Amino acid sequence: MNGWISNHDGVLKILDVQVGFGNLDLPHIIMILVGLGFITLAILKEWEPYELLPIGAGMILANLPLTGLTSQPEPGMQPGMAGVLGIILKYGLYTWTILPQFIFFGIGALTDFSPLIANPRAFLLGAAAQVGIYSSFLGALAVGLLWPDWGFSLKEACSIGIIGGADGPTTIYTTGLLAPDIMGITATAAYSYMAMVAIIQPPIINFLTSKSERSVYMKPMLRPVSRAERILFPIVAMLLIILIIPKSAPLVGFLLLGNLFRESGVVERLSHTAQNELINIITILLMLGIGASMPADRVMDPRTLLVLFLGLAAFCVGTGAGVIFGKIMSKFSKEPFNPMLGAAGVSAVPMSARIVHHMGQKNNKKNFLLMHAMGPNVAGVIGSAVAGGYFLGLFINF
Amino acid sequence: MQPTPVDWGEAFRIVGGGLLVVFLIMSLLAVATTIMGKIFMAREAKKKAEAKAKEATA
Repeated sequence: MNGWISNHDGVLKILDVQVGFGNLDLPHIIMILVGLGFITLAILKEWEPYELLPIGAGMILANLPLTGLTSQPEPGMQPGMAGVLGIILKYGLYTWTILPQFIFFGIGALTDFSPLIANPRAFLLGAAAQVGIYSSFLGALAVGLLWPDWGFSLKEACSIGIIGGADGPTTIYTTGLLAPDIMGITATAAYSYMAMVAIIQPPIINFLTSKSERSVYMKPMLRPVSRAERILFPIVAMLLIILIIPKSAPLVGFLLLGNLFRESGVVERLSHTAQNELINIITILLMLGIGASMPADRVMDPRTLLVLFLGLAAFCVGTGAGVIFGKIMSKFSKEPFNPMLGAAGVSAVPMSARIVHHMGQKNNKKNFLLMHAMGPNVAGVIGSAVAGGYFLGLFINF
Repeated sequence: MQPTPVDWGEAFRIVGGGLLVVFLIMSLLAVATTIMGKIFMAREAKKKAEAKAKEATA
């Protein structure tokens, strides 16, 4: 073509200006539609809107041709050539991986560990729900036996398994270091399944428990937790966990540091910033980055569907393992213990706890399980961070 | 990325080690939190008893 329309090196130009339409192919169109789907779910269904809306937007921006938004900074690159999403990806997620840690800092500042401190056996439910992580790890490795071309490496299997913790920042941080190529899809899977807790968990809970087990009444109130306990808890937990699994420090350390800010009561402004401005800014950057990490050429792969399936399986097994452990605990408990609480051990805070509470009320109107369920729920956050730290400790030497 | 053949021995070692570590840490945290709770509750109870005794003598 000559004149005002030209085509050089496969790039369509009108009046010598690059035009995107000419370079839009089917995979990019599909990814843009997927991004629009996320935005629709976020707006119409309010499914994890703070995560899915920016992820969808990032996905659309990353798949529009010729924008250069995802160009990552490289040595010798001309000034201004790196795209903003590429800079977020490189420094926030791939090279420095600082964004998930600051999200954890904000989550720590937002989390009240009192229900866990008041009922320490909830720690065990938080541990049991991590079984899903390891089952999907094995499942991901088994894929190679069935379809050798689509098999996953050990590092990729760790990243897929960690979806089962239902913990976005842990999934992003672990995958960013172990298998950055599948980070976008594992993070999206984690947040999507967290958004679908109300659909995924109730059938599993119903399947594994009887009506009488679901109706078990528990006193609504837990013992009051003193300020001194709430201050000591993050310090003791931080020291104990990090001394055993040092590689969990970036996640556990920041989570409990944020909580110490909150509970100390002497750095009100810092705690407020961590709970609001900081976590909001980091959420924008992190979620846009996650969306941008999914260009069509990386996602349009049969293995993406396998990652989504294995992540879902991890989440389901985690829920099931939590409930089964809850049933075991109810057999040994002196006081009435509702085994559904085990399902809250996955760290989808506070959605899982709410589901357990609603199901408890559905089966016994007098039941008020929310505070009981918040214990295993926040324990799950710690448990998945520990599991992520364990995986990192196997492969990463800082 | 072409994955290398899976070493299942290592894979099961990772799973066993991972579950052990998670349960160990969470159990230790449960024990530490229980002890902490008992100490603080005993202190609170002592404080209350002392306050009651003071009130009674007054």
